[in-house]
Amino acid sequence: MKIKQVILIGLLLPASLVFAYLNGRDGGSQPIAYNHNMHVQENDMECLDCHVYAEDGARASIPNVELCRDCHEEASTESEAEAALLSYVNDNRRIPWRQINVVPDYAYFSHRRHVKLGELDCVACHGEVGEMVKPVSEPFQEVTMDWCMDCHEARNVSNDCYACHR
Amino acid sequence: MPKWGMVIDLNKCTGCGECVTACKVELNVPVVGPEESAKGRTILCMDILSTYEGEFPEVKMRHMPRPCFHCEHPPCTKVCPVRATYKNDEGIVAQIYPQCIGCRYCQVACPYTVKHFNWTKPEWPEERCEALNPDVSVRPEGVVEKCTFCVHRLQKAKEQAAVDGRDLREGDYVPACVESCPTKAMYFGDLDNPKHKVSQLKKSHRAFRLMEDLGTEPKVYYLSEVE
Amino acid sequence: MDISRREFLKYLGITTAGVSLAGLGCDSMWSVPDEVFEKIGGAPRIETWKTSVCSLCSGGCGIKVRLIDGIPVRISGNPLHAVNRGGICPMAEAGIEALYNPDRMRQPLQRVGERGEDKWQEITWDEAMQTVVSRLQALRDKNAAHKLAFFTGPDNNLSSRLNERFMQAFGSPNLFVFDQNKPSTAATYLTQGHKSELAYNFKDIEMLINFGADFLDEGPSPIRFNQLYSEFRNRGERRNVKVVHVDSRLSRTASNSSRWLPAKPGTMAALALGIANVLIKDRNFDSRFIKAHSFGFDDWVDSSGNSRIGFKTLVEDNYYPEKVAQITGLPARQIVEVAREFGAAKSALVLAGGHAVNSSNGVYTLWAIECLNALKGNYKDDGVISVPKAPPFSEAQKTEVDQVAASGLNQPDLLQSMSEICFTDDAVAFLPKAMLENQPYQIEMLFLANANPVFNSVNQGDFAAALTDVPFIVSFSSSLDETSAYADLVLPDHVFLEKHDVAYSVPMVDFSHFGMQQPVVAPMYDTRHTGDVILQIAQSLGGTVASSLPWADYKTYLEDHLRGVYETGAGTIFSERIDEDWLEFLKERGWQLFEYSTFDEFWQVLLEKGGWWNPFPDATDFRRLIKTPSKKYEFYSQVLEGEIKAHLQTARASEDEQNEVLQKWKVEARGDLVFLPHYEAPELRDNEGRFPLHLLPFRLITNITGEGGNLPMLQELFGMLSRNYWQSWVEINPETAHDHGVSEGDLVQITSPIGSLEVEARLIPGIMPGVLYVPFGLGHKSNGRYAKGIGVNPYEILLEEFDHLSGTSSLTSTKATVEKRNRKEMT
Repeated sequence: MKIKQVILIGLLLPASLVFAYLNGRDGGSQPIAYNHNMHVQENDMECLDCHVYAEDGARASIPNVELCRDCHEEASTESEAEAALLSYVNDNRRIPWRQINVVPDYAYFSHRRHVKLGELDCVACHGEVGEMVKPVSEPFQEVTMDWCMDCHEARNVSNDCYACHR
Repeated sequence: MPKWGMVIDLNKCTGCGECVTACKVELNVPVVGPEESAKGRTILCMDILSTYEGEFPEVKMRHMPRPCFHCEHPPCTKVCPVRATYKNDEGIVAQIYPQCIGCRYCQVACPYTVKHFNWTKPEWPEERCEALNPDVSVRPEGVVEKCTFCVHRLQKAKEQAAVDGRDLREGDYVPACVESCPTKAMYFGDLDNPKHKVSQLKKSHRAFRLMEDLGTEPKVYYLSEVE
Repeated sequence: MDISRREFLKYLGITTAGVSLAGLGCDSMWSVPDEVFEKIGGAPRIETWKTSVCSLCSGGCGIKVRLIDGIPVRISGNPLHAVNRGGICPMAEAGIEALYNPDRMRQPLQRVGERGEDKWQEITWDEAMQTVVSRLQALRDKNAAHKLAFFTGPDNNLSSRLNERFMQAFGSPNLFVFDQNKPSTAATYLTQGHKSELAYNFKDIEMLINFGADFLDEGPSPIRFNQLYSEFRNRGERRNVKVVHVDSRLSRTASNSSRWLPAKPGTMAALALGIANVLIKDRNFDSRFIKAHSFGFDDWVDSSGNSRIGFKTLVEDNYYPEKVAQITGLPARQIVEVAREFGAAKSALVLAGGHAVNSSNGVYTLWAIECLNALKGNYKDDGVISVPKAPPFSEAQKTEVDQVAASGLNQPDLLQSMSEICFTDDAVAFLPKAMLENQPYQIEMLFLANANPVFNSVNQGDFAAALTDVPFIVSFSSSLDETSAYADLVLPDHVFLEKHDVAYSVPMVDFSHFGMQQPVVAPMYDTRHTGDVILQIAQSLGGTVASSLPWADYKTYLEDHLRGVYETGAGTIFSERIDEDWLEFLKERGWQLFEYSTFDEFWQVLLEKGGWWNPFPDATDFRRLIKTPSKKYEFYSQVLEGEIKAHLQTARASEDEQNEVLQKWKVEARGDLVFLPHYEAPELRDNEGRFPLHLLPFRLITNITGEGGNLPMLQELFGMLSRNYWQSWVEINPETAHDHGVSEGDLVQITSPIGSLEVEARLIPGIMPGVLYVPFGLGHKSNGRYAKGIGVNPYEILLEEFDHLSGTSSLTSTKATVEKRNRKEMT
């Protein structure tokens, strides 16, 4: 298939369809059965504790072994998931997390802009991730241009193409 | 609303070409290779026009760096059937790549030939792919591209200013070519803000714009050489 | 499998299509490979900056590298660097591609095919090192340490000091520097008896005459000169500098000057002496300096009572404007005008380079030009010319020399006793001759680091032949260039962004300074810092070689040297531009700009700011520097007299003997004239007019050294001003082109007596009629996919001519023809 056609199709269809595709995959598509609920609800952690750049960076970042190690040097539970994590930590291997929320290359998306300046809660776009006991395997919200623009309009934020496109 | 513009002092420019290279790296402009280059498909969002005047031995060589002029009355935007190119509120002539259908009308309409068509799929050695400028998208094959006045830098500068709780200052937002000019021949800022250097320089008796008779009102001014 | 960001996008697109079809009841056609997700996974894209130094040419520009999540993405200038002040050139900007070049060397290689056949086998560092060390040991065992030769690139960095030290301790005098951008010291040597590189203070000059040096495109520091030339015509309140450029091509340097004098190739000496003639006639020169500090200006009487000709008589009798006009093709009126302006300027300077030097009469030309500086009295202790000191590095302890090393060092080096050249200033071109004739002895082992004579010499074929004969060659190159292709072993160095070094004393800069090169990223492959390799070799050799190079690694060696700078407290680390008076005030009171109380802190600040400089240079004491027999500046060179005598068989040689030597060196003059700067027609073989045009090469800022060919961006932008991307071309005056039936864009064949090449024609009025100009930098036969087979190398068809006084290659001695060719059918 020619790349040009692919791109055309990619433009005509919202990128969100990727997530539809991923939906079809096994819910346990992440390498470790990560439990947000355990961390957020039971251990009182904040999103920012692990997604450290969510407030100050363009990208929120997904934590990897160097950060996990801070708490998980040794097993603190008997969970299989933690055992799996520890094997990554001990071997100092990268955890091959699947990134679920993807913004296309041609859009400039900045967490700092939305979280710090726009004062949006994480849940506004990501939903109640803190309640989830299974790893995130599908986005809470499909990122479509309409969805972005509706919110921008409602909040009186620029909808100039160059506000986001680059 | 600011009106972003550039002033290029030709008396300071030596034609070294650093702006051209800086632009290519900053904007992830791909190298098209010898075959495509031979067909005139080299993409230079910033270029230097070199001309010779006179005949031997009374010859003068002039260099003129040429970005997109971000005209106040851009001929290119009027012909775009899908509004992929338009002039925004801050005077920047935008080129929205995912919107572009590659009809190349704008390329034809531009009297300054600053628009380039991506004839081929952009290619870098695999080793380099992770090392492109993450602030700028990679344009696919089949769209028109051009100088954006490094608008990605504006996006970031605005954000930084907002975080710091202040207005955008002169110098917060400067395109890569202006920033890298070794002889400091290029200025950038708000043409409407009397405090900005560009708005003072554009009133210089040396100031001129290219093909002013077309009525395009470019926002890139040149300061002529002092003879 | 590595997946790029682009490919990821592609997958994204494809999957999207897949899903849409899946929704219509079709199977999805593609699945998303896991690797895609791994690659893009949560990297935060944190931006950081690191300072370093670009080492793609000898300019040593300070750079600032932008890193995203630790990955270098762009190089820009370090605004704090005292020499380049934030400016860099296209070559440095494209330097990022050197790091990611798919064809760079990734690990040690051993040759398996014939020399130059390009067949290699990967080997481990241990194996490679063992081979090198045992071969070196064998040389020392048979008391033949001098049979190791080392060819290196530009020597203004501490790596080269280490190489020198290694060669000393090992016992070989055969270290040779290959640097096309190094200013020649020949004229300084003949007039002042020393070979120090001169530096210039442009701050207060009112006029500059540049003879042939294309400073804006070529080395030694093109960006600095772009800034200087720009400043020359933007002095604000002060009067702008009048810049006169002499050359037969309207280069960028010429076009950025206020006046262009297109003298015929090879005639610049006559022009310089013509200017001297006007100055002398007008009595418009520094007579006080001439009287007190010079020798041989006026006629004089030697110890035997013979009267001898002085510079003044020579110039007055031979170089009156009308005659010079005839030689140079310039109107006499122009010569007088320029001379008068030069004489009237309060402070004026002449500089020379390029085709003035690279000519068969280069030494006399350079010397004639140089005399104008003397006439202007520029050799004052606080004048515009100075000899800057090297930074106060700690002097490492003396090299220990054992018996083997001592006997090796006692041997003459390869060029020393060569009868073809008078004194070796830049005579590396004669190395193949020595090597092919095994004179004075055979070279058994050769180290190559950043030297590529098989590409960038006029006698590249001789170099190739000479290398074929060397039993064992080790290259430390990070890419497989034309010369390394002859190696038996390649021990690849890091790319400049991956290594530590210190670049100091950029040529022609009048204050002492150094830039800190530091790794901005960990080495990508199994390469090693050549400094570390040399140190390790020394350790393995043991004995005095090891004890002379006692450092554990190259970084320790650097730290040791910089300790001296820290301890003397001289100068300052680069800082935001501050008032120099204020800095002096601070220093006088023992304060410093930055906070550091230990050497480690000093080192850290150095790395952060990018280097060190001393803005207050000591005045140069020329009287102490001058080493001529007369202890004065010599218009009549007794230094040359001495050099020539050294080549004669007997102390009291007859005139005939001397004439014989002069004839061998192709010096036409006889008698006193030999020892005075004068004009000699350049050596040109045109075979009875069969080759009516002059063929000259030129260089561009997009590939200053010619080694940028493996950077695709530089190939694409190579001829950006003339719109020649990925190709070579020839610049011809439209009139000449018309005479030869050539039009713009035609494919033409250029033929010289030794070969021909095909290029496109560019008709340019800024080229003197009768001259063909072809850019140097393309036409690589090796050096990776971007370089190989693109364009042509004009050096291939240049005649092997030299200036036999200094040994410098001539680039201006070739005549050629141009002929239109039919283009092959486009397929």
